[in-house]
Amino acid sequence: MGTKDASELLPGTLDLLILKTLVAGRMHGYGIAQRLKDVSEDVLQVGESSLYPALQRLLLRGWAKAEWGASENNRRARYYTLTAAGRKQLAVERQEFDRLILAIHKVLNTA
Amino acid sequence: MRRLGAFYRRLLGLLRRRRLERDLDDELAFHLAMREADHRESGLPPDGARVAARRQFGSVTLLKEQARDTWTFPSFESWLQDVRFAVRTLRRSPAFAVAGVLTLALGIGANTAMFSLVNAVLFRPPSYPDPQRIIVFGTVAFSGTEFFGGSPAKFNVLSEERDAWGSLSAYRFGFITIRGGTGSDEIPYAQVSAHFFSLFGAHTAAGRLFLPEENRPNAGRFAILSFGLWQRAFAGSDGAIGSTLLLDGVPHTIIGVLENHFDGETLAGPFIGTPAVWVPLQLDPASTDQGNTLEIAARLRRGVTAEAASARLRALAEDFRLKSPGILRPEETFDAKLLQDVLIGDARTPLWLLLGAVGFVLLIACANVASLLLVRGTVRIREIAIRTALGAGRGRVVRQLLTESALLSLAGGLLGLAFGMVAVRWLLALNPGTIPRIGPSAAGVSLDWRVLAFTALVSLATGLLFGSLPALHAARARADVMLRTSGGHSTTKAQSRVRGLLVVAEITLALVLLVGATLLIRTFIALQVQSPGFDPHRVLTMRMALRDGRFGKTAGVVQLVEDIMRRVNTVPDVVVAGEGAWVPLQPYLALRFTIVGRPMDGPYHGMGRWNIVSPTYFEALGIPLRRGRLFTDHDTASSPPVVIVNEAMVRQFWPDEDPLRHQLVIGRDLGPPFNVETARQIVGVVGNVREGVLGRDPQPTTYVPQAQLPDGVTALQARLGFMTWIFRTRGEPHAMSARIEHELRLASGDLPVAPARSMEDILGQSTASTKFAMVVLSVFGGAALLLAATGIYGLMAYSVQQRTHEISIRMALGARRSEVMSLVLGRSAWITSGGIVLGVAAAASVTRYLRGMLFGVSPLDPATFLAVSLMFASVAMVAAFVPARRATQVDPLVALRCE
Repeated sequence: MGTKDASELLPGTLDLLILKTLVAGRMHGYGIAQRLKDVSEDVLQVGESSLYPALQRLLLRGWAKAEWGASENNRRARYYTLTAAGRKQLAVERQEFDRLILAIHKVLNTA
Repeated sequence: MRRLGAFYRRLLGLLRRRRLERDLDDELAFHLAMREADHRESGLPPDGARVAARRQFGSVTLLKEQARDTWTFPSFESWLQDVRFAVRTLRRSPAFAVAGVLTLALGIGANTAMFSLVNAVLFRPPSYPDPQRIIVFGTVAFSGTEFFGGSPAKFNVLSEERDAWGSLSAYRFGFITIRGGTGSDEIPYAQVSAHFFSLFGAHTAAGRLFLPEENRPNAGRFAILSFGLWQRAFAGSDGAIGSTLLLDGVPHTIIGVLENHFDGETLAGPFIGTPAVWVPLQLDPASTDQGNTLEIAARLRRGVTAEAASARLRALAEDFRLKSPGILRPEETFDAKLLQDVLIGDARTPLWLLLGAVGFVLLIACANVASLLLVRGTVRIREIAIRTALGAGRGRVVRQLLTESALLSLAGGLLGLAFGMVAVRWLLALNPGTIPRIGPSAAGVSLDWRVLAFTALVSLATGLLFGSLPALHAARARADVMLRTSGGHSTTKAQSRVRGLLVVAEITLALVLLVGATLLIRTFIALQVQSPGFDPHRVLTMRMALRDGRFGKTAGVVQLVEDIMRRVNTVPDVVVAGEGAWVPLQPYLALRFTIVGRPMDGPYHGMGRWNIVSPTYFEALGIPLRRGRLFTDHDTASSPPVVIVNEAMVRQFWPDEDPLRHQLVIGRDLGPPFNVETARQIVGVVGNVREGVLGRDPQPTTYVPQAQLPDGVTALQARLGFMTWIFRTRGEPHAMSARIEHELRLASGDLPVAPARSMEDILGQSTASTKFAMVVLSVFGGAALLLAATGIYGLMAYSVQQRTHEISIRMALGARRSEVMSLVLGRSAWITSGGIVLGVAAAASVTRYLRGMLFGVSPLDPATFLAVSLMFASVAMVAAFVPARRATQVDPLVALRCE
């Protein structure tokens, strides 16, 4: 099956994945992409062209906030943190996603 | 709430864009660096690692644009971009931008000015409470063409109604003389019945309004001052209340002062102006007075429609017919109109016409700017082609071009608004004094929201109008074709055709305007040339009121006339003096008459103007005698009653008979004091005099001698009417007015005299509104002609420039100059004749709306149409001649070498 670019995901899923990733703590954009790749065992490859617009979207909606800090190799990096609203949104989207998956399963399992 | 948060952050993003972009740049650089480091770690050489990182990254610009779009308003952003681009493009061709903006500013400005006036007269609601429910009553014939006021008897019938309307009020405006420090002065005044002030929402600034008992007959003399007179005559002092004012020589007690902002001028009309004094009308509730000298208004009760009120009025008219038989003709009834419609009156059609005319000017201006844009479109074809090739959609190109047009028209609109505010002052400087509702010194014409909205709307519509054609044209052109061909000849041809059509349209519109203007010019000339029926040169008139109670009997007035004549005839340079109740071209009274011995087909035979004159009236005014004799000093109270009629009356009532064999009974149906009128022998026929209303045929007129007036009518005349003195002089009439006025005062025992007017003044006033329409329409027509000529010139000059190549080949092959010339002139002639044919057809279908403003010329006057067409043809030839000459001066060698 190989790898999947995030742009091929179900709509809204990338936002959900980023939100979930940020639960672990503050992280910069590159870190989020790496982490998604690692956790999904290389199945999910998030391209910059999807990642950054998605991050801007989260900022715009107030689900994440950004601040500049020093990276692990001591470069200036922009770190994203989940906000309270973001945490709430994660729960909502998670529920929504589960419902969707369940529905898809039902369709697939119907003879 | 969350949507609001996002919107707010977006707005913030718009403001902090620079920081946002920098953050994104830094972030992406960091991302790239991290990836590069990873690649290096996995063993790639440094250069290879960088390239690989970049390749994976894709288009940074696109990514940034996407990220940015998240933050801001994408449509707004790209629109802003369009505007910035449009400003840059326009700045690069300042000549085009200035020409376009100025053309539009003139067009929009002229429209703003005209609309300000139209708005003040037609659209601005009257400043009275709930004006939509105020109705004005009138007597109408079933044809609906005549609508005139009511009499005290009709008022009494109308006041019986309680359900359909309330605050029924009668009023009448006129002039009254007031005694001041330097002599007497004539001021506008109003007589109002009870309820008038509550109907029109007037309050006092000092003192009080009339009490109901003060508005009963013989209740005493009271007056309320206008705020202006209070300030002028009493310096706004409270001492004015309770003091005495001499009006027409009669003392009145001042009881109050009206508020400053109460608008009496709108009701009184532009001829009268702002009433300075208000007195109670003191109507007799039992009056049988049938003189239609009152205006009557009321407020409709809530829920009562105008139609219901009309139905009720028709029923009341039947009651009235029973109560006062013989007053209403069978085809006459009562009706009502909305106050606003009555106030606007005849001004509606001319104003709409002028607004339409100025709209034409704007359309022509639009066509010129569209033409300019089309030329620019040709020049910019490569730019647009390149943009299309780079992926700009057709919609995007159209939007870009429309943004440019909108920018032009908005700039034109702003400038036009400024110009319009100046132009409206010029317009009002031409004010003939007949435009209703604009208030004293035109204070009613102001820049309100309607004018602003109009200008904004017109600017936008203008931009779309002249912009859309060139924009669609440019966008339709195919990019590949345009890039391949060097000049884009095929599109040039198509554009040249469109521009040709635009010029045709310009000529059409301009021709309509000029035909209208020329018809008005001919009307004005006809008015100047055609004799008004009297000789207006060196004639002075002065109006005198006989209100002080000494003149209740005819004999007294005759004595007064004799005394004055004797004194005035001693003044050197007075050739002849006369006296009458009215002079020509002024408001008059019309009375019904019956012809003795003729079978009756209705309550009366006809209606005619009625004038009371001294024997020398006709000589002083220069009105010619056609048959019979004039009045003499022997026509006295004891001699047989006589009357003189005019030619119009003869033509209508005795076309094949000798009028001098007939007798008339005049006005007897009016009731007292006219009921003592007996049959009068017609002794003379005099010439017609011109009517005050343009285009109206001379009306039947009867003249009766002052000496034979019933005493009661003399008393009525002394109470309500005036005596107008007429002096034919040897020199400049106004130069003698002081001397004559002095004699009048001495002879009359100091009766007040209104400021002198010459008959030339009166004649000039009567043609003032024609002059106004003529001047305004001529200015518009001239502007339209100029714009159309510019259009032809621009088109021809451009086409010659485009065809330089072709022309040089023709000339190299032996074409003569005259042939080249006719090539250019021929095209111009085609376009011009197309415009003229269409214009003549259009003008022929619209000039009938001018009919009411024309005199002595038909709306389809062939000479006018021919002259204007010829003028257009010659102007177009001249405009095309310059480019045509340039074409013949092309040097084939130079032109061909350039290619």
